[in-house]
Amino acid sequence: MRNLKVKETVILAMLTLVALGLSYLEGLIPPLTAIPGIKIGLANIAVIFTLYKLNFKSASTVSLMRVFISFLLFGSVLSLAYSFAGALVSVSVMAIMKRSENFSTVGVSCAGAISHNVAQILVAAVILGTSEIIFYLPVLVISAVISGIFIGFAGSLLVSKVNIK
Amino acid sequence: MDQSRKKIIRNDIIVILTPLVIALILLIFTLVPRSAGTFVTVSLKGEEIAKYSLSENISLPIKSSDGQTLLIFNIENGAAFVSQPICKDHSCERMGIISRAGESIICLPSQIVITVEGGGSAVDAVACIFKEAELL
Repeated sequence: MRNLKVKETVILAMLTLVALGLSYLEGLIPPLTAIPGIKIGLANIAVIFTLYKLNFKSASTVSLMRVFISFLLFGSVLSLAYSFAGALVSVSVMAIMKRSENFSTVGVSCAGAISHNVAQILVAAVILGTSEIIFYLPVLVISAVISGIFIGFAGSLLVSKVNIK
Repeated sequence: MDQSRKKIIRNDIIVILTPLVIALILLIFTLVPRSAGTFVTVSLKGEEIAKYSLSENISLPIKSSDGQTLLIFNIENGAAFVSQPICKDHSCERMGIISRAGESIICLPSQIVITVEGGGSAVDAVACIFKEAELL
């Protein structure tokens, strides 16, 4: 029993590190557009993988720990608020959709990406005390759909080829 | 291809297309041409701290409560823009000038919102989200 618990912890730590590495890697890629906030969301591959191979609890641990460690390494308190909201909402939405068994990883990933952006914009609107930032959402949603599709395919490939048990 | 696989693909397409269509419709609305603005308001942390006419020519440092200059706010030839932001990625600066009603420049790290007023609606430029925020 004890060994099982240790194994689980180690696997979670490794997956969190993979997510952290992926978001660092993404930060090295020069931005494709002048619009801030548009990103590929590579770290979501690790979160989707964890969600499908383990469970919701593990996936949210990986996602939230990644955000928290990123914050310790590079972030500000303000960016922690945006990112935490985005990560929490996104992983919850993905878990519900996965559980319904009516969607593939592509659909799950897209919904995760969109809800991530929506949550971040809502938090930004509250922090800034302005609703105007919401007009920025359409652009973000379109980019989230495009990157979500690719991340979803990458995730499904990993889920079917890689075994961690 | 069996029935359940078909259903999943159909559901995927719905989940992808619905937000996409809504986003495109909203995008078209925000791109509708706006009337020229008359005033610019500057707010810091949700509170309006200044209001200027677009016909003025000014160059004004916006300071935080501890006296640090967050960015320089400028109005020239009927258009507002920011320069020298202290945040790292300078996207609010890159977003250029605003002059039409409803357009705004938003700087997330400094919590500054600059909005042109005077009829019309919609936002053109939202900028300056921290490099860190993008990384997380």
